[in-house]
Amino acid sequence: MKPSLPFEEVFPEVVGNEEAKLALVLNLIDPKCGGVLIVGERGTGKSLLLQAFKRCLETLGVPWVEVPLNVTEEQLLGALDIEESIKRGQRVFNPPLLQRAKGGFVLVDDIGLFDEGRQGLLFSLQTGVFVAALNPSEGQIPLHFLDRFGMCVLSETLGEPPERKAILEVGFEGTIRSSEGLKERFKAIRSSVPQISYGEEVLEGISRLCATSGARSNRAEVFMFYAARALAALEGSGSLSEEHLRKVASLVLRHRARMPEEDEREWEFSPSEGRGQKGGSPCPEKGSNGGEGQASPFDPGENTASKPKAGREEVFEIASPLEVKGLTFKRDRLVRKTWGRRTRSKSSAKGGRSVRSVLWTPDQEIDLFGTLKAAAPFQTLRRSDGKMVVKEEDLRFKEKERKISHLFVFVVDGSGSMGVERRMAAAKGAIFSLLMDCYKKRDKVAMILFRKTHAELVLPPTSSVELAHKRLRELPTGGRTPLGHGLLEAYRLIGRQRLRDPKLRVVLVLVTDGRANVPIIQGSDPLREVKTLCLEISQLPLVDSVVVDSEPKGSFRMGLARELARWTGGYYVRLEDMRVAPFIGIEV
Amino acid sequence: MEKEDGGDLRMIFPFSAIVDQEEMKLGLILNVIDPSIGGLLIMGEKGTAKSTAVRALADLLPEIEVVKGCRFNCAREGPHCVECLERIQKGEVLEVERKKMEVVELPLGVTEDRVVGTIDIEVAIREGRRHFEPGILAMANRNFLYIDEVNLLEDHIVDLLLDSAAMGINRVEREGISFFHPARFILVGSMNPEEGELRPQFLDRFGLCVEVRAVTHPELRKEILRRKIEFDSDPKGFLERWRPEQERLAERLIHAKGILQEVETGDEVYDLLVNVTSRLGLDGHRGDIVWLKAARAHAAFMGRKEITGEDLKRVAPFALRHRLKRLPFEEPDLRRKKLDEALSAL
Repeated sequence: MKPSLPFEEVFPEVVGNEEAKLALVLNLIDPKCGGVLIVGERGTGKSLLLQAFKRCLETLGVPWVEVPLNVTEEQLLGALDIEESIKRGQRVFNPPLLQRAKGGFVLVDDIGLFDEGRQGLLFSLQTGVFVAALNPSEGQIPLHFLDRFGMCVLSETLGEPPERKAILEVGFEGTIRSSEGLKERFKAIRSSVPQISYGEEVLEGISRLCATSGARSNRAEVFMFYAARALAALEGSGSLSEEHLRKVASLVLRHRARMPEEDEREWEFSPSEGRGQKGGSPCPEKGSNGGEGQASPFDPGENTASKPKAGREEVFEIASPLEVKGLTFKRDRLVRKTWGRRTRSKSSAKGGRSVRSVLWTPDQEIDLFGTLKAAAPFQTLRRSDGKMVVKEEDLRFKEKERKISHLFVFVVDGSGSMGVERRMAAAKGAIFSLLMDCYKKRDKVAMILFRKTHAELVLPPTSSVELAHKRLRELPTGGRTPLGHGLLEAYRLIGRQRLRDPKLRVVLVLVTDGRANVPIIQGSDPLREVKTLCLEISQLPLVDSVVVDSEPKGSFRMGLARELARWTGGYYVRLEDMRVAPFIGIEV
Repeated sequence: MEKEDGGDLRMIFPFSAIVDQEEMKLGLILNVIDPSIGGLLIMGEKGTAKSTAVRALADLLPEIEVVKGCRFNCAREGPHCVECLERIQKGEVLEVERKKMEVVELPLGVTEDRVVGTIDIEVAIREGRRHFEPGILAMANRNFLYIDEVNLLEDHIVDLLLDSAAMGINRVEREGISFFHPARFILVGSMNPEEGELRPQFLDRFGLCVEVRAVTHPELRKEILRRKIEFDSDPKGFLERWRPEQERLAERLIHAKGILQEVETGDEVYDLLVNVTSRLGLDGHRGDIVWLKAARAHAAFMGRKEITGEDLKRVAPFALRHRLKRLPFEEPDLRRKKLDEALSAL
């Protein structure tokens, strides 16, 4: 048996990340392994791995293409060659960018940062094998793209001092050592691949493993076969064995598996420090922002540790419930999913990324170069002393893309009933977890408190979620319930904000038990007023409401909050349910 | 220092004459000594001399050598842009010229094209050929890139900047143009934390982070005012008076850069450092590396060829302060306490 190729020699500049290195080496041996997606948080070596891999490719003479974040759709599709078009008098196009990777690899760092349009193009125009890095805190890729990757590995922060030291030493030095004779050794290993034998039991083993993992697509089997075979070649074995299968299983199945809870431990990579508890299945179906797949309304594994501090009004500390052990694809709440912050829409507002050139937009911002491209093929016809002739039909305009901003308006009941049984504390905890989301997605937040005889805008719209947190902590309780005032204040606030930004999407989160007992107009029926206001609010465009019922479970329920939800046409959720699993689906 | 180029005498307020703001000044200095530290984020209110300081420092620094005729300020020894590579391939021997380091500012509301570079429309129209028009990343190569109110930048622009800053290279695939050029710059950003936060990933990309506060002490405020008036009324004289200080500082910087690679990092230093960072539970490993580099630059600045615990301690807040956040809502004081506690081990 020939000795295997030690990883250190292939990627000397990377410490740790053994799985990633193995995955990359297997792909170097046989690109049919299908590529690698490296998933990890910041500072865990993803880019380092990609760059090291690229250097390897250069040494081995394998073609590659690095796709930068600034790439335009056009470039991916094959841009117009303006020089040739002018010369020849017809449209001449460059080959698509990815063609340069034919027979080789496509490297994409931070693939999650690419918008859906370009992600789609990347995958539909796929030539060559993809090796990409993804930071799940920064973006995602839809499930079906995920499945295109042969393997998926995690990169993590190494917590222990000795490990940190090892990484520090290499990172600090920054010297890049290259390995001797890499080319020859790889050549030898690669040539041995086709001769590797395998029996029926191997194929059976593969299908068994894939089936029990719950992997839906049959790509899993194919990739597993090639991965195992490449491993056998790497280790110098002449034949495939179950052992090889076992070693590559997690690489190939990690991003495809759907495990029943009990078995998930088998597939888990070592947990990051302090990250999440025993999370739900590694199934990332809620990962996509593009609305891919249905969000399962109930996530059994979610665990939010809440540790109430002593004292009358506390704010709950909620552990980061979003990070699931193993694959860190986000679970998005149904609410958030519908109105995702990274909701992109074509907009006419100034600013925003210019996506493509089109014949007409309401905004009519001329795309100069697009216009020239349209005019290029006609120059030989229009011939005029060397200057370019541009006609009206050549005019092209910029289609922009702009993220929709969201404003979360929390309307909080501060009446005496909230002080009972620490309901206010629970409400704060629930709002807190919503604030976390807002923080990550950089939404604006506003807070209205109603109690005693009036409502107060305690926090005008701000993107400083720290400030919001501060206000939240300070919210007092006591007094009666001027719910109508609260709603009116919210209504006015939305109106004012709309003046400034007509496209603003608002999420109104109303936390109350609904027991309005202070009317706006003396002598009126408070509940009647509330109903009127709710109906008004339900008419407002681009406003979604959520009513969080703070009335505790028990025999004495008045169920008023549910009425509020009905009147506003919004969602309804019970406060106590939010505490336990804030990311549960919401009853309508 | 005066700029003597055809009568355009731009007087820049001398760096050494800036009152107070020691943290910010040191943060900038460390980045100059070792640009691989990765830039500086200045957190503070308006009117705290942030861009003044950056310009003043750039003015203080010695000239750099760039390839003559290169639009990207390439260094002769590389890394090279596409154009320099072509020239080398044709057998040309690249000549150099000297240039002052500049502070390139990123305008708010800037477009992708302007940042990354795009096709030269004029050349396309006039000559019908593809020619790359450099963007801001090109201008920033070998210089400072200053971004005011960095928290107000559009996300997609932020992403582009980070990408280049991290890789040190700008690879462009747009409008039928495939191009690349080095993009190594000292990134300096300013922001007012009250106006909103930066994404943690963005924060982590800034090597160091310092806080500046408006100077409140009446004596100091008087001094600031006095110096400003003096400078305004007689810039030449003012500069002349401060020349010895400026030269001293410039000397120190040049010397520090010179001995940087010779600074020893003892094993105990590594151990001390990782003990603190693992105790703090920092996300990712960038913090460790940046901290050590900053400590080394500090030692060099002090004229020493060995990193001590003092160096580590002095620069710790710069390197770690913005990486401490685990939960976004931990009280700032709590975070500071955590840091102090962890550092007491030093």
